[in-house]
Amino acid sequence: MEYDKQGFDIQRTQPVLDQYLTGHRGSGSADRRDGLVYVYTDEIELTVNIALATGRPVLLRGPSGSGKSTLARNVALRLERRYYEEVITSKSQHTDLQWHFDLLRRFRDAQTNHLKADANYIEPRGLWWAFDPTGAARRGMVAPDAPEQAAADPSDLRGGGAVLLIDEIDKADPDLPNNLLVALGSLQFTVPDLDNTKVQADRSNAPLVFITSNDERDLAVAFLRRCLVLELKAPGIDRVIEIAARHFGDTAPRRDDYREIAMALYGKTGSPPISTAEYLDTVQACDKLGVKPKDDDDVWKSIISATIRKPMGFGERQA
Amino acid sequence: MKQHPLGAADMVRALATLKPRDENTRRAIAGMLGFDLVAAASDGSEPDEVAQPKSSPRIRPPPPAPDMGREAAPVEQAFDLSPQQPQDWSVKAQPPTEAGVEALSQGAPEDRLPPLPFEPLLRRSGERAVVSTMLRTRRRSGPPVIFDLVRAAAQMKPLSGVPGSWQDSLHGADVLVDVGDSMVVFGRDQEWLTSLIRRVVGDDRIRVFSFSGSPAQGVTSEDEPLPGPYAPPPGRPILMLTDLGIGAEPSGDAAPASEWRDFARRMRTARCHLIALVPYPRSRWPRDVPPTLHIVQWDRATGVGGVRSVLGRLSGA
Repeated sequence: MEYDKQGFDIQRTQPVLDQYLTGHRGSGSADRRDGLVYVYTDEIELTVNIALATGRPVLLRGPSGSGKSTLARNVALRLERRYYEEVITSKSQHTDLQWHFDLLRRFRDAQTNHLKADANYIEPRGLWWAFDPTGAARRGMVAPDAPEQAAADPSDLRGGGAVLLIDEIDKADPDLPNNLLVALGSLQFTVPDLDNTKVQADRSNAPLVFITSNDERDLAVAFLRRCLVLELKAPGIDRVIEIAARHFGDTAPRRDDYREIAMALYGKTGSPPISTAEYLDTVQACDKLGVKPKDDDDVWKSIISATIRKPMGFGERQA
Repeated sequence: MKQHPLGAADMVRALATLKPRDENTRRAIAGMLGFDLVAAASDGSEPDEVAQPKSSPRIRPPPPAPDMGREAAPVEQAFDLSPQQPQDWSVKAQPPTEAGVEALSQGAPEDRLPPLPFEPLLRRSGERAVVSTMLRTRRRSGPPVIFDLVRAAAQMKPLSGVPGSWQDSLHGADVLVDVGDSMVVFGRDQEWLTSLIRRVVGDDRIRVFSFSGSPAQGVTSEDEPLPGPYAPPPGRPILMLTDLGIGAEPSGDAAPASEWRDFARRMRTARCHLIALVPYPRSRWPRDVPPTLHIVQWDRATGVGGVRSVLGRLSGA
């Protein structure tokens, strides 16, 4: 696809990522949400560019382990933006993504006659940090007033803009996505706990928002109409091998190992019965333990039962 | 999940920023924003492209007739809307057949007829909201209520727990589907609504049971095909898709009113909200409905306001 990739170009941003990787690779962490490696398709790159051009959030759908949550952080690394992540639970309310007012601490301080200004009990959350990091650090107070202690920016990345991941929105009460519409559309929200202080993002540097869903619940049409929807399909054998090569090293013998494991797990059909994350866990375990996939090898069977955590047995998967 | 069309302004902005250099890229960008680029000109001139929302109705050609020996028509072929030759609909005498009796044309076999259009009993525009409102429960799971805390402190009362504010949410529900003879005509509505509830509330938060007569006579499920007693977890909302025996034959399987009353009382004891979605008007509802059974009319006119007025006093377990 040919177009101006001024907003996001994976070739152009690769040196930025490489520079970051030099200081952070090799931890051996099983958590691939670090976003250090991501294998893009043309469609994914185009979607990020459209999101940057239109300012719309990207709703990422796809099976578990297909890289929904990893994408946001990888984009943040490449674009040198701050990165915030909010994981939704069934109890999450839309304000939980914006701020938290510590009522209990305020109550305790009131009891001990140490009551402070209300702003000191405000904890800004991801949406606030993504919209206005300066205001968030000041807990909504306007100069010359200042909180007794500035809020700490939770992002470990630094940069001018921000990437926000709202993870697993389908876990939330159905009202939550609708309640986020105004904030995401107008790039502003108010904080009633602070006399309706307005939090506003700079439109010229609007945050890039990724939202993931496992489709446990349908999302309202009004919400979908405001999102770009990108479906991440489960990758085939060639792509998982490419992903493994980026994660664990890219040499011909290693690629042979990756393919051997992929063939053993995915079967001859090439249709993926397991997630990419499970495949990578298996590759990593085999690599560390020096094991090759053999049906009669007890260690291989043990690795499979440990890394492929699903109700069905391995034999059934291959069937 | 299809991409719902975003605003035309988004497409203008995206095309202006990304400056696609080929047709495929342009179509990909439009597709990502929920639009189809459709060639409007068909006279051989340079085609002008117009954007249509993907969800807009498209005129499709009728399916090709079977056994005509022709190639199947392309799915998106142009549809000729030019004026047709006027048809002569006047009744004329037909030449008699050899037997002297005109043969009746054979209609299409039953199984070849297209299925009847299905319009659910709830309005599609408000169906999600109605379901959410019905199955919502209130719990004290919100932020602490400072007023209650201050009052307890002022009265020197020990706090056994932090008083949370009331919060509405969809934690899960049981759906009891009446499969008695009188509900057969509403079978498609029951299926449709159960599917909708699964999608709105979440598949793992919904349990579906079937019953005939009343749930007091036992319920079945996919896992338990033999009827067994129904015992919901405390506080769980229960939605029954039933006619409460209104449409049953007098000698049919309708449960007596006392059975419904006992069942409603048992559910109340379990602190469960019992709601019946009944596809008949209020004038036909049983007169001796227990107050703990909340009946909502299952009808096009049913909206969130009506449901709230019925369930307004419900509070959490």
